[in-house]
Amino acid sequence: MADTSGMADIRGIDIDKLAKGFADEANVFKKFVANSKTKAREIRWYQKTSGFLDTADTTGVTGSHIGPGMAFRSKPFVVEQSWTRVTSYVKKFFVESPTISIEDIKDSDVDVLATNVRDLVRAVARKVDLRIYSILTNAAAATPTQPLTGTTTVQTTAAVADGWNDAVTGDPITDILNGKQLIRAQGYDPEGSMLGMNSAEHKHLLTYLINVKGSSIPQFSSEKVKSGVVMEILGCNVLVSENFTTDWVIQWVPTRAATWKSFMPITSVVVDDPGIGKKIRVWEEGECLLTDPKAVHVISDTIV
Amino acid sequence: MANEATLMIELEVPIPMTCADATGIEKGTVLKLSDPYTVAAATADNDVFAGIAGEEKIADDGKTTIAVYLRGVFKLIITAGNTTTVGQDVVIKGTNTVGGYTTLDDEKGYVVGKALETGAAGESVLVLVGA
Repeated sequence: MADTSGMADIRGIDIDKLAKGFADEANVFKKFVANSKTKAREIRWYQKTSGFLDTADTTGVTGSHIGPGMAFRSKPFVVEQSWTRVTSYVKKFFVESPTISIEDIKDSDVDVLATNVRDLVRAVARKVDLRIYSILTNAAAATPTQPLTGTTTVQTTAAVADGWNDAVTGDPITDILNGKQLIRAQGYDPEGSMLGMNSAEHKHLLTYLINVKGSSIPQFSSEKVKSGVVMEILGCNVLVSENFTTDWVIQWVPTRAATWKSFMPITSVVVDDPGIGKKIRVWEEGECLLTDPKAVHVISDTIV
Repeated sequence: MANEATLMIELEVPIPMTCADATGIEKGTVLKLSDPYTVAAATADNDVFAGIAGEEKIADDGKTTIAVYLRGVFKLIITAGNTTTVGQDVVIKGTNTVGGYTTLDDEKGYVVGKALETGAAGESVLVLVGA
C-alpha cells in the first residue's frame, strides 16, 4: 500500500551510531606489581626460607650461638641460608573474533572491526588482570575471583566483628592497622602499601569515617563529605575498582609482593582473508609470581 | 531468536548453500538439508542436518544462497526431554535444539556432530559440528 502523511513508513529515523550500554572498568593490577620479562615459558625461581639467619636449636639449647655469649679465640657455629625452588609456567590468554565479512565492515552502522579490536584487547587484558588478582589473593584456579580459596600463603585476618557495613561493631580502621602491623612484622615497610577494595567497601569506609567517627575527626570528615573519596588512609594508597571482589579488602606492598613475568606482550593482529573478511586475533602470555606472600594481607568478611 | 547456535571455535569459513529468497534466516540458525543442496531452518526431530547459518539472510533481498558453517565448535541447546552424552552423536530435535542420537540416525544423515559435554534438557553444551 502506498503511504500518505500520518503513516509511519514515510517517517525518517535518526540513528545514533555510537554504541553504548557499558562503561569501561579499568584494569588496575599490573601497575601495582613488579613487571619484568621471561625469555622462556618455564620460569624457575627461588624463595628464601628465612629472613634473619640463626644457629639451629637443639632440645637442650635454644639460645643463639652467634652471640652475645660467643667465646674469643674459637671457631664459630655454621649457619647458612636455604632456598625453595619454585617452577611457574607461562599462561596464554588468547581469543579471536569470527570472520567478519568485508561487507559487514563496510556498511554496518556500528564500527564492527574497530569495536571488536578494542574490546577483544580489553577482554584479554581483563583476564590477565584477573590472573594477577587470583595469584595475589591465593584464589583457586576454578574460583579466580574468590580470594583464599587456594592454598593460603598470604596473611589474612577476618574483619573485626561483623564487617564494614555494620555501623555499630564494624571497625575498618582496626582492620587496616592489623594488616599493616602484620606486613611490618614480616619485615616489609607497609607505608605506601596498596589498600584495594570494591566500591562497596569504599562506600562503607566513607560511611564509617563520616557517620560513625565524624564527631571524633570533624575536620577530616568534613573534607570527606565534600570530596567523597578516600585517596589515602593510615599511610596506605586506596585503590577502588570493581575488579576487587566485594567481601575482601586486599593490602599489599606494591612492586614487591608479586611480579608479572611477561613472555609476550599483548598483541592484536587482523588476519585478512581477501574477498571474504577479516578475523581479529589477540593474545598475551605471561604469569604472575607471588614472590613475597607475606607482603600481602587479605581482610576477609568485610560485608555482613 | 531463541536458542541460536553460538560459534565458539571457528574451524573453517562458511560456504554458500542454496536457500529460498523469500524466507529470512537468522545467524546461528540450525539448518536442515533438502534436495538439491538447499537449506532451511530446522524445526523437528529427524530433520537432516546441513549446518549452522553463518550470516543473516534477509527475506526477499534477492540472494538465493546463505553462508553455512559445515564444521566448528558451537554452543547448542538441548531440547526438552532429551540429553546428550559426551562423545556421542547429537541430532536435531526441534527448532535450534538438539538431543542424543537414536538407533539408525547415523545412517540417515541426521547427525549434527559429536557432543563435547554431557548435558540435561534445557542445558547448553559444546558440540563439534560436522564431526
